[in-house]
Amino acid sequence: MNPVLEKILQNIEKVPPLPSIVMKILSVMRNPEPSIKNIIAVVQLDEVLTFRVIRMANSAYYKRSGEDVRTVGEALIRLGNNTLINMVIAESCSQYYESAGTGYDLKRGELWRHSIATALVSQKLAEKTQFEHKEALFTSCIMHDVGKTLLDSYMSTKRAEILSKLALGTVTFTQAEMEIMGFSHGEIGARLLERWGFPQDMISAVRHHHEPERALSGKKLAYHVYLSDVICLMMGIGLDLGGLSYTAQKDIFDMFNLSEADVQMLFIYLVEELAKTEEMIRG
Amino acid sequence: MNDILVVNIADMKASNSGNRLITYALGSCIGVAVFDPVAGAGGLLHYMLPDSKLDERKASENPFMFADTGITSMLRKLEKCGCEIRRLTIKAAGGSNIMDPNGTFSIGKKNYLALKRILWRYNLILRGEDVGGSLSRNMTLNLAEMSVSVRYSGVKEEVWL
Ligand SMILES: [Fe+2]
Ligand SMILES: [Fe+2]
Repeated sequence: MNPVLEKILQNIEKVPPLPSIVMKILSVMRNPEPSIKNIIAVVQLDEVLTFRVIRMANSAYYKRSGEDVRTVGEALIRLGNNTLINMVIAESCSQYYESAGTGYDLKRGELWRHSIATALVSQKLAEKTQFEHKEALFTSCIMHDVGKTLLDSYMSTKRAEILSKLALGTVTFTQAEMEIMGFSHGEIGARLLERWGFPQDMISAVRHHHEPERALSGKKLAYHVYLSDVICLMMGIGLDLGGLSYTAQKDIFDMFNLSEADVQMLFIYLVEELAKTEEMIRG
Repeated sequence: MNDILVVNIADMKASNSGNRLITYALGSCIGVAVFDPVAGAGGLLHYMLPDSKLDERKASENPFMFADTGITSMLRKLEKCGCEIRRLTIKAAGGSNIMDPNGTFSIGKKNYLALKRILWRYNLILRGEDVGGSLSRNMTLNLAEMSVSVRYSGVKEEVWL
């Protein structure tokens, strides 16, 4: 096996385990009639999450002129199921992004901001395309570039080679990664998700988020992650070494009846939504 | 003096005190740097979409989202800072596109065409530009030196426009 890959796979073993609440939420939400009570019960077991959920519900944006909420149940009423669940997932996953990005020429925190932004715009996109698995989509988006966190230091040694490939203007970032490292950041992220026991469709969506037509299971999920990521990249959110060196797949936009005006409206949605969510991003 | 002002997405900052204005990670968005050497003032705009007709309500809330309303608002602001439109030097960067052999999906390109159209209306021309391709750029307007530069992601050297 590629010795670098071997080393990185060893590092995957050292990544702290995924907080169990993420899998619990995902499995509750896959149920045809998800019980939100179960989720409240699980959140309440975690003091830090409980504190953050309540703090978010009491933030200026959500509180407006209402009174302070004191329980997870009250917070849920104010935030709504979708926002509460997404917030819990984001809070549980932010730890994996703490020191990431510098190898890709991202400022500290930018990879996390990119992940959150991708997840946020995915929810609006899912409304438009009537995609049902919003929580799985949100989580896949949060995790789509997690492979970069494991490649950070290796990438900093390969920057020059990657850049000279990209300068040709005909090679995608994924192709450059394959040629120079022998694997892509999507592959490394997928390996981590495999280790954590994620469902196949989510692993596949992360593995192929730049070439979603290759996803074997859950193609629709992969397409949604791809579209959400592309929108963030075009807007420059978390834009790194790779820039926009990815293939535009018009057929995927067409598949969901997304016109360019729709995409432009998603830009506007996201720039506003990100401003609202800065608190969540800073954690 | 010589502070660094960061211009965000859908944002513009103007100054008349020798500051450095910088905007990061231009993808399909465009950065427009404008200065009047006589007035010693200038501004940097980072807009994301070509045409305010898409959503006029949003454009009135934040004109800097769009090329047309963004440039008009910037010019108005600069006039208040003592700039004269005919003396302005204007340079642009950004407008990258996802790789698309069919050229169907190109907000970056439309952003650039919109810029040219609007400048034409004001009888202004671009004195320098670094536009297109698929990479990420940072852009700096140094008002102490009246210079504009671009830096590509991952690259140390600056490109002077
Ligand atoms: Fe990626
Ligand atoms: Fe991404």
